[in-house]
Amino acid sequence: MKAQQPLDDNPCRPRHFKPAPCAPLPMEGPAKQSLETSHTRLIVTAGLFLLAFLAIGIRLVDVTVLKGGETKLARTARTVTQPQVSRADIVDRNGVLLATTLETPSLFANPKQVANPQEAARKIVSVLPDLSEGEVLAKLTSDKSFVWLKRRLTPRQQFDVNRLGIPGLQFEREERRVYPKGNLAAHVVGYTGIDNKGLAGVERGLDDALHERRDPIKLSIDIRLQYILRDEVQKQIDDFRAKGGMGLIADVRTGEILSMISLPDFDPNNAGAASPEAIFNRATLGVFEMGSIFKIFNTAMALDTKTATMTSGYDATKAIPIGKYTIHDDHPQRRWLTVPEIFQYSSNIGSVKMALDAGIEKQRDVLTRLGLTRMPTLELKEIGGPLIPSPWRQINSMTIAFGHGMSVSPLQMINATSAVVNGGILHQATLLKHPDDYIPAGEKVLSQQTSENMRKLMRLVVEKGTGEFANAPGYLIGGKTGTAEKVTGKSYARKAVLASFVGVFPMNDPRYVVMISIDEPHGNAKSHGFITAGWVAAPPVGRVVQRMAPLLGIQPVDENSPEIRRALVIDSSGQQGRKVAAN
Amino acid sequence: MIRATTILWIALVACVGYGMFQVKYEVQQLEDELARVNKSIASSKNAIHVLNAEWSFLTQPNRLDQMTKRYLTLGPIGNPQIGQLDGLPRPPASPAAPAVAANTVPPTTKVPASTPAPATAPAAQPPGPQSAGTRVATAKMRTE
Repeated sequence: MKAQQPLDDNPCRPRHFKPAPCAPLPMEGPAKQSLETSHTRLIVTAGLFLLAFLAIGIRLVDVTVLKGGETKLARTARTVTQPQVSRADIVDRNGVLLATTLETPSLFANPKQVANPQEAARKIVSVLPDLSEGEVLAKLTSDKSFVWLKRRLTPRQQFDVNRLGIPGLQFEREERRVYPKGNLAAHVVGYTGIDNKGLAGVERGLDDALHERRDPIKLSIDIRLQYILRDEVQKQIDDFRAKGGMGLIADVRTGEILSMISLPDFDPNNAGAASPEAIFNRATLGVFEMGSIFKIFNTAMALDTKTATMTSGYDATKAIPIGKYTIHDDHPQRRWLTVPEIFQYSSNIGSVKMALDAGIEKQRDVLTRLGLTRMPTLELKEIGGPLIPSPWRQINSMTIAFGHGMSVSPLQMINATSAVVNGGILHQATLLKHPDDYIPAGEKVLSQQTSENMRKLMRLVVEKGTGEFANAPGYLIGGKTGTAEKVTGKSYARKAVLASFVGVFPMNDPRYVVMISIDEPHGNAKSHGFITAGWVAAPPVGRVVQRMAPLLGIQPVDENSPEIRRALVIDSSGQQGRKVAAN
Repeated sequence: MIRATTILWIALVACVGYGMFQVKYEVQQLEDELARVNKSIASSKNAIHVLNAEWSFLTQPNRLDQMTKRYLTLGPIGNPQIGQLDGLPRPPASPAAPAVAANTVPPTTKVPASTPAPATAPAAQPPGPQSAGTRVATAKMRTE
C-alpha cells in the first residue's frame, strides 16, 4: 500500500486503473542519437513555420492596419471610370458642344467564316440599304480573311446587324470627330482629317492643345449669335444675288470674337466635299480694300494728332484730280464741310484733304498703332496679312484716306474699330473665352477724347447719314458704311463692289462691334437698284443688333433722354465750317 | 487539460477558417459588384457622351427656329416688350381701397381708375352676367 501511495494522490483516478509498473527505457547508442536528430528536425521545422506565420502576420497587419494594398485597388477603380478620348471637345462660350469625338463601330467580315454568302449579302443589304448587294457578295466570296463592309455605323445600324446573327461579321471601334452644329461654326471650329489631325480652324490652330488636354476647349464664340449673323448675312446674299458674305461680332472691351461667319460655308462633317471657295475664311484670311469704313481711322487719325478738330472744315466743292483719276464724292454736297459732315456724308474729297493735312508719317503711325499694318494674331492658321503700299507715297496716303490702296482683313477692321470706340485701347483679338468679368490689359493707342468724339461721329452716320438703315430703336447703334470698288485686273470695276458696314452699340457705352460685308451684290427692286453699303450691308447689322441685344442683356434706352442727347449728339451743320473757312 | 486547450484551438481554427472564407467570398462578391458598377459607369458615361452630341445636334438653332415657327406662336422679343422694373405701376396703397370705392360708385368705372394693373383683371374675366360685387371681389383678390 505504501508503494502505491504517490500514484493515489489524485482522488479522481478510477480505482481500477493501475499504471504499468515500468521505468523509462535506458537511452543509449543509436536510439538516443536518432531521438536527438528528430528533435533538431522538429525545432527547425517549427522555426520555419514560425517564420512563415510571422511573414503572413506582418502582411496581414500591413494590409489591414497600414492599408498597404489600397492605393493600387483605388487606382484600378478610378481608371475604369475615365472615358478614353484622344482629342478634347470644343465648346462655345456657354458650353454648347461644337466638336466631339465619338467611338463608332465599323463592320468587317471574315469571308472564310461566312457559311452562306448569298443569304448573308441579302440580309446585310436589307439593314444597310446604301450598300450594293453585288459588292457585298463579291467581298464575302473573296478568299481574304478580312474585308471592310461598312465604316462608321450608327448605334442603330450596329444593333440591326447584330440582330441578323450572321457568323463571321464583326465590329471594330473607330474614333470619329463629330460636329453637331454642322455649318454654323464651320470656319471657326474647322475640321480634322481621317487620322484625327486638325486641318482647318481651331482644330488646326490648337491641334497640340486638343491632343494633350482632357477638358473641353472653351471658345469665345456664341452659337446663338453665329446663327443670327449667318441668317442675316445669308438673307442679304440671297436678296442681292451676291457672291458671298462675311460677318463678325466682337466684344469691344475684351477683344473676344463672339461670332465669325464666312459664306458660302461647308459642313465640317463632310469637309472633303466642300469647294475651296467654301473653305476659304473671308473674315480672317481674306484681305480687302475696305472703302469708306477706313474713314473711321482717317478721322480718328486727324482728331488724335490734332491736325483737325470737330469744328474744322474742308473745301469739298471740287473733285481732286490725281494722275488720270479724279477723286469725287458719292454723295456730293459741293460746299465746305465740317469734319462731322465729312464723316456723315462719307466725303472722299474732305477725307483726302484731312489726310494731306496730317501727312504721310502721322497716317502711317496711327494705322500702325491700330494694328492695321502688321500681321494679326489669332488662334487660327488661316490668317491673312495686310497689303500695304511700299513705298508709302502721297498718292497712297490720299487713297488710303478713303480706304483704297491698302488691304486689310475684316478681323483687323473690327479689332481696330473696337480700339477707336472703347476709349482708345487695342486688345488682342482672341477666339478663346476669357474668364467672366476679366478685362485684359490692352495697349493705349488713342486718347479718350478722340474715342468719345468718334462715338459721336459714328452715331451721327446712323442717325442722319449714310447708315440710317442700320438703326435699331433703343440700341444706339453707330457705325460707318463702306462701298469699295473691287480691283479687276488693273482697274476698279464700278459694278463689282464689296459693301460693308461696321456698327457699334450701344454708342453711349460701347459693348459690341458688328461688321457685315457683302461681296458683289446686284441691285434689286427693294434697293432701287443700289448696291451701296447703306442699302446692302447696313440693314442686316441693325437686324442683328435687334436680335442679339436681348440675348446679351443689353437694355434698350430712350434715345431722346437728355443725358444721351448730351453724350452723343453733335451739331454737324456747316455753319461753323464756313466760319472757319472764312477765317 | 491538454484536451480542453486542443478543443479550444480546434474551435478557434474552425471559426477563423469559416470567417476567412466568409470574408473571402464577401470580397469576391464586392469585387464582382465593383467590376459590374465600373462597367455600367463606363457605359453610362459613353452614353452620356453620345447623348450630349445628339442633344447638340438636335438643338441646332436653325432646327429650333423651324420648329418654333411650325409649332409655337412665339416670335423674337421686340423692343416694346422689354421694360425696367421702375416702369411698372405701383401697387395700390391699401388693398381695401377698391372695395370701399365699390360701395359708392359703379365698379366698371372705378376699378380702371385705381391702377393699370388691376384694370386688366375685369377685362380678363369671361364675359357673362356678373354682379358688380363679384367683379370688385376678383379685382381685390388679384391686387392682394
